[in-house]
Amino acid sequence: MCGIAGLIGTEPTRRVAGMTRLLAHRGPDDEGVWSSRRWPAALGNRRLQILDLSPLGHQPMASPDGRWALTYNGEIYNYVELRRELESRGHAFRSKTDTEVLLAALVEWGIGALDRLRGMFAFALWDDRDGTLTLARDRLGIKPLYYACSGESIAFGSEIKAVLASGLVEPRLDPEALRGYLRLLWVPEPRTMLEGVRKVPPGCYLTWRSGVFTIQRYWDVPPMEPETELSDVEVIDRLRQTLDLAARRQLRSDVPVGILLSGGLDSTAVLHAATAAGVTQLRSYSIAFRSSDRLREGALDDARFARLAASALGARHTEIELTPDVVSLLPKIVRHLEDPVADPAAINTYLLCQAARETSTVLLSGAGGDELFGGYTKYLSTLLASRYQELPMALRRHAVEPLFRGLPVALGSVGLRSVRFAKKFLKYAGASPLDRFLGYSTYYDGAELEELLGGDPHGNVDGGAGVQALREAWEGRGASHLVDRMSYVDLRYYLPDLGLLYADKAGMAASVEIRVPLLDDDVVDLVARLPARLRIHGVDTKILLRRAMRGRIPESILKRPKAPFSAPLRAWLRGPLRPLVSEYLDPGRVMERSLMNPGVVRRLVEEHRRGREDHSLRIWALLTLETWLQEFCDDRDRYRVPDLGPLPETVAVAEAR
Amino acid sequence: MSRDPILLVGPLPPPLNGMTVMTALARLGLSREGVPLAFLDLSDHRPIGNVGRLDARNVLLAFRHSFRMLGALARTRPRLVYLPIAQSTLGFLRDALLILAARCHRVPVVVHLHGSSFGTFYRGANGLVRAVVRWCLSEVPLAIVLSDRSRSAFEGLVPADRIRVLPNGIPAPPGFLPSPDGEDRCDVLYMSNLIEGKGYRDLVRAIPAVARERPDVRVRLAGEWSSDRERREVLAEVRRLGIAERVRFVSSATGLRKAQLFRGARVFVFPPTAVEGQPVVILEAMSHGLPVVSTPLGGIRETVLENETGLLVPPGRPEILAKAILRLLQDEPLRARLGEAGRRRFHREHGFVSFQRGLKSLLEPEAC
Repeated sequence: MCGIAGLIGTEPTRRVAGMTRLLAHRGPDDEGVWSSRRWPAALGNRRLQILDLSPLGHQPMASPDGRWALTYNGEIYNYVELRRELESRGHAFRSKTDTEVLLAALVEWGIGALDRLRGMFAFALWDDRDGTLTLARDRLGIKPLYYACSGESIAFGSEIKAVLASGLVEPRLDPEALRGYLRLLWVPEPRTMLEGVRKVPPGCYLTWRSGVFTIQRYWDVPPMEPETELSDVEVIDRLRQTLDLAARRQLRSDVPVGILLSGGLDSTAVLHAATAAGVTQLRSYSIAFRSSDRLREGALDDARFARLAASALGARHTEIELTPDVVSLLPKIVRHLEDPVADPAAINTYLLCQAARETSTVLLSGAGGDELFGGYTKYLSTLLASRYQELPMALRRHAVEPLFRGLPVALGSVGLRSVRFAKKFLKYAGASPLDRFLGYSTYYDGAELEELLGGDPHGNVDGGAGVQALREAWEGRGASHLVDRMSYVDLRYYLPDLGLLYADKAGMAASVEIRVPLLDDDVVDLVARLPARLRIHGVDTKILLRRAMRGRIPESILKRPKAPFSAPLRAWLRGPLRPLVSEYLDPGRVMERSLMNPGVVRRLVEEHRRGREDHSLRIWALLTLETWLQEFCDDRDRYRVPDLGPLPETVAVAEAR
Repeated sequence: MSRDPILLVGPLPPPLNGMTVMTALARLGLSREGVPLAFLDLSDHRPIGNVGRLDARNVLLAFRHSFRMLGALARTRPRLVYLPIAQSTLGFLRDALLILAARCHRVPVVVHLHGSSFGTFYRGANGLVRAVVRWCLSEVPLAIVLSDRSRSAFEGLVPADRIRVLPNGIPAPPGFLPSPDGEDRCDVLYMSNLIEGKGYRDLVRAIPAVARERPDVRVRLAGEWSSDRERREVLAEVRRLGIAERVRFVSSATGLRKAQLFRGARVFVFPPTAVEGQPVVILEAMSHGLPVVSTPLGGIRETVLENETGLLVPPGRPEILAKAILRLLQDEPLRARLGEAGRRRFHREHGFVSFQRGLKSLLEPEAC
């Protein structure tokens, strides 16, 4: 795992050296810059050593004939098998690194090598003979990769900061990304919040030559099949074997491994697989709310289940009580996540990684389980709304809906979680399947968003603003089962642009690598094809994973209700964040920013303060956005590196070669 | 230096209008300058049509505000009250109750006049109202006006040495704003409430002449209708003039929507027929680098410099307005020159930092 950067353009070596330095936290162990002698091209790398701790893994790595140069971030879990195959084809290896194997695989099989890779990666391959750059990202987007093009130049990097440092783009807002962020709390790919900076989409590669580039998809989530030829028992056996194999593969590392344990089904399943793979004394880490915060949040006690899982499966458990100085934490998180992310789960992950960094360099996570196995409440809501629509309309319109509309979401300091859920369920229960799925996935509808951004909510409103990509993904899935379409949209967008994004960035901020065994390629290939009845049926979710874990993990974890991986946001907004709300959402300040309607922002704050509505995530999103503007836009030259000082020794070495 | 706060009294948005905007900006600016501040919010969230109307709710609201004022004075013990004052009979009577409350607490009141029709209002008022005005202003330590020309509004009411000039200042558009969408592009933009005195109907009547020379001209009027009846009348007029394809009415805009409208326009037109102070919307257009076509009423002739940052036309003369619009649409270098000069003038005269510093210095104990 590392940070990568590169530039084809003016002064590439000096600029890439600066871009790479901004990625120091991603790879504290080594730094390197490679420059072409024929082209104005340079690649950079920061490395955190996990496999082969010797200097032979130095990056960027050039092929023996000097034609190819590779800078790469991630882990190829099947590199041992690939190396054997490549050796049989005459390749000789100097190191034990997966980088050298990846480079040889790309030389041997060209871009077709992507189909053979099992792992998480983002890389740039430069062909010094033809002057062609290839950028590629793993199937599900576990590792990030950004780029920006301007005229005949292209800059890329593991982080947006590196791309900004290239000087190729100005920090200017992308309006569609802003709309997407406000609706979803994250920015859907390929956009980022900055106009001109894009993500290489997951499962895709980008080929660039002389200022012209194309993006091609090499992998997509396989479609769900209506039925499987395997019996349920065979499916369960196969899932167990695949999970165990994935854990064994992903635990290949020369550094200590830990696990982010929420006490939910997914992370406990990963803990079990790691234990089954022979890891003993695995360290586990979880977050606990203060009881007063939990009450205000109306949340469940996750920490109890995490302790139970750790003790049942023999992990050395550490519990972190969530009482951060959230006001000073917010800018740090925003700086590291780069695109604004208003899901408070990002805070938990950040704090857990910070706490675990002393003892673990690699952390396992259960990320992806909800998207793949069908665990989200929004899936259930979307399906159950069809039943609700069968009730007589008069009963819905004149009894149920007015009743819940009038109910408060909090009584004093006690949050009413079920009322919050019911209000959101009813708001979209009468819509089409796509609109209700999007409704349950978003925090503003089209009209509300238009009003927030200062337009007319009663005018010609674009209902798809900010979420058009998600709509297209849903429609592109054809007439498949609702569960398949929901899962597909989430695996394509929600997972890489939210959960995986903050996992990578929060991990890297602490120089810790997060691995996600539930998203191992073989697990995805198996589960994505299985019929809907093995994911959701009636009100049961994650049916297959629950069955596969029966007898392996404590029964109470299998039966516990779904709890979001969250933070006590409602308590924070009434406590430590109050002054920040007053300052950042002051009507004058909102006017100064020229983005929102200050009257609407004021109304949201007032309604929330009075407990009439729950706008906590909306308010958190606005605070995050303001912090993001301060970090990435107010000082336009913050990440531009005008004077780099002396070049690092590695640069001089690369050029001398 | 005294650390007792200044009590700022005024409405915050919603709705958005000159008064709520300047109150919000005054509050932001003073707090940024580190001035100890208490705030009494007089927001009335009803639409623009309710402003200045004599009804039971407005009367009740006025009394409620004055009771809240008494509470705020007792609670915050300010050294000074800062009050943007109204220039209509009902509005001023409401302000008089607030001033009365301050007098009861022996707290001086600095008044800030954001318009330029105060003199007209005062001269047209009956004897009783004029007496109230005289009493209210008799002890103000300072009256703030928008320009030298507006000093005359307080002639005979406030001694000349207690009148200070502070031009309106608003934040410049941030550098991170995105490029406008194609949907936002237009040739002529009007942005203000759709009220007769704002001159928007003159703009509508000027369009046929503009369209004869520029058949593809796109005109956008963004604002809130004052009544359904007016909307129906104007839309019928638009159809009668045969310009329905050329003219588009959109609702009042703010935030990103407003910024995109400004950034997508070529010429800004605001031709009021009633006296204006220093319309914030003209400053906004200047800040976005747009040349302005307006009328030389009130403070506008000090804001829009003829042939330098815009063109001034007589009020109520659509045919002359059309010529000015055409001149700008047909002469790109002129448009660019006036727009850029307007932007520079905005930064020089109406920047937010100079406004907040100016306001702070006027409210310092030694100044008043």
